[in-house]
Amino acid sequence: MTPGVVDDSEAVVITGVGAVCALGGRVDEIWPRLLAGENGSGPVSGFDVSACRCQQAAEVRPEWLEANPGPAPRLSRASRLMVPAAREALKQAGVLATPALDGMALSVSTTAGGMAWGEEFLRGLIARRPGGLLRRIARQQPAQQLLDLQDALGFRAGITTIIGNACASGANAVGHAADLLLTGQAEIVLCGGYEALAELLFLGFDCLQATSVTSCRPFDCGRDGLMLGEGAAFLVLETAAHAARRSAPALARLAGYGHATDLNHLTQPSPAGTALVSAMAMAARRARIDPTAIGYVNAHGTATPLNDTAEAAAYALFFGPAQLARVRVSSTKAAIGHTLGAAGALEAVFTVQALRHGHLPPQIATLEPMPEMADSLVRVMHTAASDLRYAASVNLGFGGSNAALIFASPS
Amino acid sequence: MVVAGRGAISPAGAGAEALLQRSPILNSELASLRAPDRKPFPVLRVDPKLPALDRWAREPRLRRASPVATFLVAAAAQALEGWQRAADSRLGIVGAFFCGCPAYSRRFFEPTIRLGQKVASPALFPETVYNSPLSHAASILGIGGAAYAIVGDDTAWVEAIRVGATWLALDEVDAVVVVAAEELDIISVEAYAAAGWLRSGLPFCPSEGAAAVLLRRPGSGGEVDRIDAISLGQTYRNPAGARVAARDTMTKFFPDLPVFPTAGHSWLERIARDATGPRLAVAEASYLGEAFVATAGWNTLRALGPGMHPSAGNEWVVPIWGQNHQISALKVSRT
Repeated sequence: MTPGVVDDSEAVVITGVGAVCALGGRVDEIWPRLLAGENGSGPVSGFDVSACRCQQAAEVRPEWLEANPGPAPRLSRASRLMVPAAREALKQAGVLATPALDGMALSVSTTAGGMAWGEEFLRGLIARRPGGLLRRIARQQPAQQLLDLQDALGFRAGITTIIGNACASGANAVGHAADLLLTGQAEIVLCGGYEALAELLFLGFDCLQATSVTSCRPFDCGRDGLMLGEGAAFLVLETAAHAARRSAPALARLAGYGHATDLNHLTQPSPAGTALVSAMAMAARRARIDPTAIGYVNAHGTATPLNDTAEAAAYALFFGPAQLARVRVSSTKAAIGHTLGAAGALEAVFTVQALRHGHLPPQIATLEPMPEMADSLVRVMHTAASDLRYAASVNLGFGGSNAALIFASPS
Repeated sequence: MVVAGRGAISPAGAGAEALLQRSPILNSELASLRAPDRKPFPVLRVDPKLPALDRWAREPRLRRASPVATFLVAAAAQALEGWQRAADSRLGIVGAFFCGCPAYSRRFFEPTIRLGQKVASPALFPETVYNSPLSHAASILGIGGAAYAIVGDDTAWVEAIRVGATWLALDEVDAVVVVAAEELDIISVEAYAAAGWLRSGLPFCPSEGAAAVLLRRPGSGGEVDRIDAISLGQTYRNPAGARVAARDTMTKFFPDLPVFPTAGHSWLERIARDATGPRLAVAEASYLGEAFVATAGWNTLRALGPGMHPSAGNEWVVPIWGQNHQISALKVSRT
């Protein structure tokens, strides 16, 4: 299937969402906890972190993971996160276990795939006990998790795109799914992202001193770093015409998508946040709206000093000071951690939920907001937003990846 | 899409022309990580002294980067060389990766296993991320717009081309560099061995390098070489599934066109031969080893290369036999 003529008048609708994260194993379990200001963090249990600066993360409870078939651990933790989230999204869209699933396009993101099995493989080689590691190393790469997903849900996919754009990947995967629809390459796409915590990832962020040794406090004057998390989220995107033919109700529309690259530094965003402004401007242009139409932004908000400074600067530039005081902003990473390749997809799901239910996830943990963000942050007791029509979800990542999604209420 | 530029770094040298030269000799070996007394693995390596690589040695972003980043930048820069880029040109870049950055991943994590977590290096970790080579390329080549790192087996090359084609169709870019890169490290070669790809009797030889094409919309001049169509990837989980995927690809995607042979010496060679049948149109090119996405790119460049035309016509199919995920194909033409 080759990209064809673009019909940009075609609406892209969301007909299913699913998620697994530290607050729950289903969207209807996660959402009330998120609105209530619960925090999914705890001591890291998956591997030893005794020599690390940071000892906390937002891990997913074992009961929320896909069960491993048989006694042998055939599925990586990454696959066990991904499968239930995808199943939930497909079920809500009404395409699970139907012929519509066969040949469905996939647009998926991760940064590490089944990294824990790669770590185990290296340990086995160093210890000179390579026996039994073949099956695991063979399923370490991201493409293998997508095959696990197809095996578990009983289908074979069509176009399969795996995006590894670091922490912006999830938003890229959702945006790319819309691009596949707009160019006629697919009529329905399962898109999303997943990430399982792994020791290599944890050590990496810890040695960069990017993780907090206190608590994750996005947009706080005293913020000192991020909290890592894990999870998965999926959305079913389809053309409005395709959804109408199936009589599938739209939960929301994906109105616009934008992306840009920050050339400043491999791990440090430009302090002015110019690439994020470009991404948001592109998304607004494609959505054919003015920034003033956006009522809520699910921010990247990692709580690292550099990220939040750049992001606040970008919002000031994109919205202007007057509108920034009116727009509501929150980062859900204080509750579920920074889930890296899953972050953009999880936050997209939360943004869709905000539009559906007229409530905004609160900004928890932030005690002394950065002055430029103080008027915008959603406080725990003030989450209602009944007149919300457009909401954005934005992400920045290692390597300079920036992405913005603008969702709209379905009407 | 028009192929408006091309670049390559391979064991045969630098540039797409080098891909058409004689086979490089087996020029290196990698020791086993498993046991010092084990037989080393033969591999095909890129000559690190190539002027095309040395040109980038002093780039600040590449001074501490892994070889895959330098291969990627060098190939992408070659692909851009002939393009008169206007100041307001919108340029995108898509990278395709199979192993990503295994050298720095091992260098980062192995000491923490042997010596403890305290030795984890903040200088190494960022270079382990899939999109770090792409980030370096975007910065060095001044590409501040669209940039995706696409991950998969050999067929990630095809998906990367699909992404580029999508951006062109959406008018997000005026041109897009699609570049695939792979580096050798003992950890990945050990994984190939564990997967059975290096069994005695299989001539599979691990390799490294990069390939790049600059894609533009038709009507933008220089329309000699084109990528006209991209197949759906057919996924598989096991050899029986691979056989079905190969047959489906070759029967559904332009079944009457000649096929450029690309199976190399991997475990898929017989499956490829059976699926292709008598459609092979040209003699097989010299073997440059298995560098996965980079090999897929080299084969695409060779299929578009001068002197490689099938006598049957000016358009043909380039199958990409992914090693462990899917099988895809491109329809290319030359006028």
